[in-house]
Parts: sequence; C-alpha cells; structure tokens
Amino acid sequence: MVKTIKALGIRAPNAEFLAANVLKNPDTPGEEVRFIVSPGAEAGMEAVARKYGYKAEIAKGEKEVEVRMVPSGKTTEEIDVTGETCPGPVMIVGDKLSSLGIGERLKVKSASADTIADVSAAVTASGSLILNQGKEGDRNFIIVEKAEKKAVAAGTAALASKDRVVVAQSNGIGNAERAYATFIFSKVALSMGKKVTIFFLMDGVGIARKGNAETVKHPAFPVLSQVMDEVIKAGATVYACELSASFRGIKEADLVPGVKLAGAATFIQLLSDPGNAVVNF
Amino acid sequence: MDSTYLVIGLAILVSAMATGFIIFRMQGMHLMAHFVAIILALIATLAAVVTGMTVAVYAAVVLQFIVTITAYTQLVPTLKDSFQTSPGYSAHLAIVTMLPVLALAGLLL
Repeated sequence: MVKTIKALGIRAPNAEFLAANVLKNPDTPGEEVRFIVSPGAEAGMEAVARKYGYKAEIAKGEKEVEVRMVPSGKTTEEIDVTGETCPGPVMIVGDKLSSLGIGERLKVKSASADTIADVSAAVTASGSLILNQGKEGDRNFIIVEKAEKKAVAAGTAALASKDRVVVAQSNGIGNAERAYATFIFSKVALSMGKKVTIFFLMDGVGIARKGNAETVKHPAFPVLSQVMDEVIKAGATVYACELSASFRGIKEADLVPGVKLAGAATFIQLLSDPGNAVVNF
Repeated sequence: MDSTYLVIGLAILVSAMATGFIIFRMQGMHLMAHFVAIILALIATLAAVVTGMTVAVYAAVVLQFIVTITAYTQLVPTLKDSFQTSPGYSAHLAIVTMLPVLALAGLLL
C-alpha cells in the first residue's frame, strides 16, 4: 500500500519540511509515500529522500507534480511473460496485480509487442494505470501502477464500461474448441476484474452434466472439467437453461456443483441488461 | 472368403480416415482410441488384401469390428446431449457402421 499525501498549494521549502516530517515518522517502516504538490514545490525533496533512505521519483504534470518516495533498495517487481500464449500473460499479470496494494508498481516484459498490448488493455480495463512503456533490448515492457477502479454513478456505470460479461454457450462438448473458449474467455474476464455469468443453453447444457466435461481434452489445455471448475471457483455464476436440460433429460442433480438451472426469463434479463457484454460460443 | 468385401472394407477405412480426422479436430484427444483402431484396421485389411493369409483376414475382421465399437462408445456420450452438432458426426458413424456387415460377409459368403 502506498500512502498518498496531497499538498497542493504548499510551496517550497514548506513542502520539503512536510516531506521530511512524513518520512521521519512513517506509519509502517519502509512504506512508500506519494506526494502530490504544486509545480515548483518539489524543489529540495530529492535531498530529503536521500537523507531518510528513500529515492525520489518525480513526475511533472501541468498542474501538479507527483513525488514518489520509494525506500532505497526497494525495486519495482518484474515479471517476464515471454513464451506464454493467450490468455496466460493476462492471467499471470492479473494474479500478480491482485496481490499488490494500491499504488504499487509492476513491470511486465515480453518479447512480443502484441502480448504487451493485450496485457495493457486488460490492465487498463481493470482500473490500473500504465505509467510507462517501451523497449529494452529484445523485450517490450510496461510499468503498471495498481489503482482502484473508479466508481461511476449507478445507471451510467454499466453504459460507461461494461463490467459484466455474459458468455452464452450453445454448442456443448460436440465442439471442443468452443467449449474451451467458453471457460478460457471467462477466466480472462475474471482476471480483468469483470463479473462473469455463463449461460448454457441448447447443446451447451451437456457441458454441465456430471462427467461430460471430463471426456474433453485438448493436448494444449487441461481437461475441460478442470478449466470449468477453476472458473466456477473463481466466482463465475453459471446457469443451465431449464428447457434445454429438460429436452436432454438432465435434472438439477445431474449438474456439476456450482451450476444452477435457470429459466428463459433469466437469460432474457441478462441479454437485456445494457451493462452486460455478451459473448456467444 | 471373398476378397471383394475386404477391398470394399479397405475403401471404407480409407474414407473413415478422412471423416475421422474431421471429427477428431472437433472432439480432440477423446477420440484417440478410435483413431488408433482405424489405423490398425487399415493396416490389417491392407495386409489381408495383399497376402490373402487367413490370419491377416481374421485380424482385419476383428479390428474392423473394434473400429465400429469404439466409434459408438466414444461418440455416444457426446451425441447424447448434442443435438445441434450431431450431424457433424453422422458421416463418420454411417461409414464405420458398414464395416461389421462387410466383415461378416467376407467371412461367411
């Protein structure tokens, strides 16, 4: 967790004195502190940082300057996702970010610029910030700062950014690629901080029948039942269409744990909600 | 034993390789046992046609039966719940279902 102190309007050298007092009396030893000061007030803060064993990182904006006091020796965490294929990088970065506190930074590196672009999209969607990006040798990189997702007023939130994803699956285990895609896309959406609802209908309900997903295996992925289990445990809401289940003689007791029967009204409601992004497999 | 039925069986197995490969891509590793059975039956049937040896003919007949049995055991769990995608499997099932009939005909007629 990074402590943020807004000191706009305080001029030099008072901002310097304020910084010295804060660094001298930290809430927790070695904590990172971020000062937001007016332009010009950052003068002398580098010397204060050195005096108390910190390193000052200054980012100048038009109306305010961010002075980040990082304890000396503390480095930004780095992960290299080179060689990982989609959705691996997004999920690795999502997991790492979830373990960081607000304000903490992560450097993500990859030999593939496309992978970095994909990770950037996921990071931005989850509310975090891209502070810097570029290339070092053969590695593309971004520096991510974890931030809290900004709340938007109710009603407009859904329209401003679709934070909920509905995955409609109607092909079942008869099409292994679509079956895998259902859960892999869901995992990515969950790692981006989105709320995921999976709706099995028509042939799709076959996936939810106990034992069926265990028969589907692609060499590049774990068995389908394992991927489905991970998605359910990660918090996805999973429904199976009651009508489609009845057509196939599937009862609630035949469904894998975590899947509930739902009627057409639930599906229509999910489709009608403007806050839901709908994906069909 | 009439080798005509063996040659027809061989032609069906070659066709089954094509239709089998298409459904193998839809189903993945789940069909591995069936795919291996097709390859072995193809080799045995080819050997029976070329050599005419009784042992090879019997091996071909047994393997052709196994091809049909594995097709059904591997695909029925999928077909049970998949109404919309089942036509994708019909060509392969239709073709391999001919095999036991031809195999018996080759032995008995």
